[in-house]
Amino acid sequence: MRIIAVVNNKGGVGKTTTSRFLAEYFSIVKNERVLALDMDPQANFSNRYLKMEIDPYQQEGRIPPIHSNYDPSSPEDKDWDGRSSIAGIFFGEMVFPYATYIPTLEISPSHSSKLLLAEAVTREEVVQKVYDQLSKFLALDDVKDSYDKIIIDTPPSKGPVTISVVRAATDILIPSIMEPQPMEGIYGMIHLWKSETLRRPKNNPLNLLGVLPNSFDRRGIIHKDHYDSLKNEMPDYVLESKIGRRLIYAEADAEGAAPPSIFMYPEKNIARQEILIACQEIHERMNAHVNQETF
Amino acid sequence: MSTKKRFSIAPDLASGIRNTIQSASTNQGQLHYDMMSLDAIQPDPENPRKLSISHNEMVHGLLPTDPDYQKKIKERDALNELSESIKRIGIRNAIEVYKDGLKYRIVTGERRYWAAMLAGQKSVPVRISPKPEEFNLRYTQWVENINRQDLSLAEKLNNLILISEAHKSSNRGEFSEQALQNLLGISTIQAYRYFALLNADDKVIQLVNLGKINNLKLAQELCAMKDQGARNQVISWIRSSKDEVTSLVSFKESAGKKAASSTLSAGRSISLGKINNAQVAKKLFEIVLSDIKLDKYRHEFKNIDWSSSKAITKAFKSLFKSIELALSVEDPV
Ligand SMILES: Nc1ncnc2c1ncn2[C@@H]1O[C@H](COP(=O)(O)OP(=O)(O)OP(=O)(O)O)[C@@H](O)[C@H]1O
Ligand SMILES: [Mg+2]
Repeated sequence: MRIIAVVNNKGGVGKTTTSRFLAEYFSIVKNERVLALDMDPQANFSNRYLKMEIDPYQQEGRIPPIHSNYDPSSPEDKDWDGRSSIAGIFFGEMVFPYATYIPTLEISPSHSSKLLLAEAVTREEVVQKVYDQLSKFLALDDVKDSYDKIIIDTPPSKGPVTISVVRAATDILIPSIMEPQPMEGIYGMIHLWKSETLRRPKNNPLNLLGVLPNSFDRRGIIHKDHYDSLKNEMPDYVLESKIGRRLIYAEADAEGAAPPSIFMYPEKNIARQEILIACQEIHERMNAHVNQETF
Repeated sequence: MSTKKRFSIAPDLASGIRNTIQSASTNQGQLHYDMMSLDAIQPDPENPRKLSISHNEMVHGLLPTDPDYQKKIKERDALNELSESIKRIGIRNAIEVYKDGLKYRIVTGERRYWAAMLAGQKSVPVRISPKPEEFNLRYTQWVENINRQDLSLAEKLNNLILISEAHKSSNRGEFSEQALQNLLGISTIQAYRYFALLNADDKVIQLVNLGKINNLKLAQELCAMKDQGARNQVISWIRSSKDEVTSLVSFKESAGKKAASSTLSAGRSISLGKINNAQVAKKLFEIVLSDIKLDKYRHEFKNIDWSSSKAITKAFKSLFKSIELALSVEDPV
């Protein structure tokens, strides 16, 4: 089982968009069993696959819908309110993934207020617990036996929740726009990768898949120059593929978009081809690291 | 010609990225840092620098009637100081540990461990290494210990004994004076003295362990004394002294007899006159140095600038020192 974390502490660079592409690539194109995890209180990733509800106690917040397996009349479910999110791992709750419109894709969605609470912990012992919680969950036999890939979308921060994701991951991917501000986000993430790399034993490395250029403008020079400049500093860790800025990606992001996935567009579609190539390169880079988790 | 503006990453950001990538790739799997609960960590019972104060005493206070009261007070104050700094800024250097059964054992950082406990910390930063080979473990502890001023001669000796034993049982060749010198990066004289102490008889070792001798030079002089009668006298005098003995001068005074070696009493020395011709000085130097007893010091006088009177004078001074040392060892009475 491989655990791919999509990270960048700068907002709006394409983390959620990339997470979707990866989740759909592995489930639709590769027909693998995928679990999507949304660790961002904004719940954008969850919204693409579930009808998230407004938190009655917090207008901005989102909570998962009632689970289809929930049966209020069954004594088994009497201690459950019928909603389950990945944030539950920080509060000792059971996690029940939800089915999606894609048969081999399941998602464990966000829960805004719970994730914000986990992100805000400050007491040293509690912080340490948060750091380790996701690794513990993903190490459960039940989880390992049920999925081939775990795709994790993260919040635009370097807080405890993001660190718990980095600790649990086998691979990390950094989507970024090739502009000065997001470049700093790349630096922040590489730092995080380095600390985690130094923390880990040899037989369990954290593979840095690299930086994926997003919203790339091929006509201007600013993106190209920043791309070349970055490639110069970290040649092994900048992807060849680039995702262009296209309305269709924003549209596919909209609720009720038809078709719902980029991989359901006609094969000739240029955008679909571009995403397929990027996902294939990421997949190859994953295979280049023979990870003990694969066996 | 193009005047188009070009863009690139800010230079400091670029070098930051490059350095971070490099450091991560070179250290991957080498250093294994983590936060670890204090419960999972155990001090090494064989670390030569054992604290005399117990955990219980740290927490519940010391008894003024304790014979080691002064020493323990000092230790406790030093630990409290460290613990205060840990409360304020945390532990800056990770404690080095290795896995030993169910627990992790400390390689270096025992004081940080105790201070963290005093500071009420639940977990500390650790660097997890594979179990070090016995010799390297002892050597690392020596390096850490030797940088501490308050280490007693007994503690140093015990560390050295462990080092020499580990050295012998690890096929590293003969544990010689030269090996000791290279290993610890100390001077020939220091190595010579430590080596003498390592081979000392039980009587001397006992005085060191009792804290009556805390001075390496003195311990070595005692080892080198050939006259058994005089030696026994000195030993029983030291054993009966109330405090630590720092030199034999006071023995000579208290005994009111001939000094145990032919050095002049403190403050007096003989002038050896002046030479105007550098060639004569050189000849004289060579003759003296050819004495077999000075064999082991010969390499120290290889690069003398015979055109500089300053350098020659300096060389003679250190030659005399070596002679004194060589003779005090060979011929104490
Ligand atoms: N290549 C692209 N072309 C056009 N629009 C894009 C592209 N990539 C992302 N977008 C749009 O930009 C917005 C931000 O993207 P996305 O939500 O993926 O970023 P993010 O990094 O997850 O943001 P946040 O940090 O807030 O979670 C979204 O509305 C998305 O549809
Ligand atoms: Mg997002």
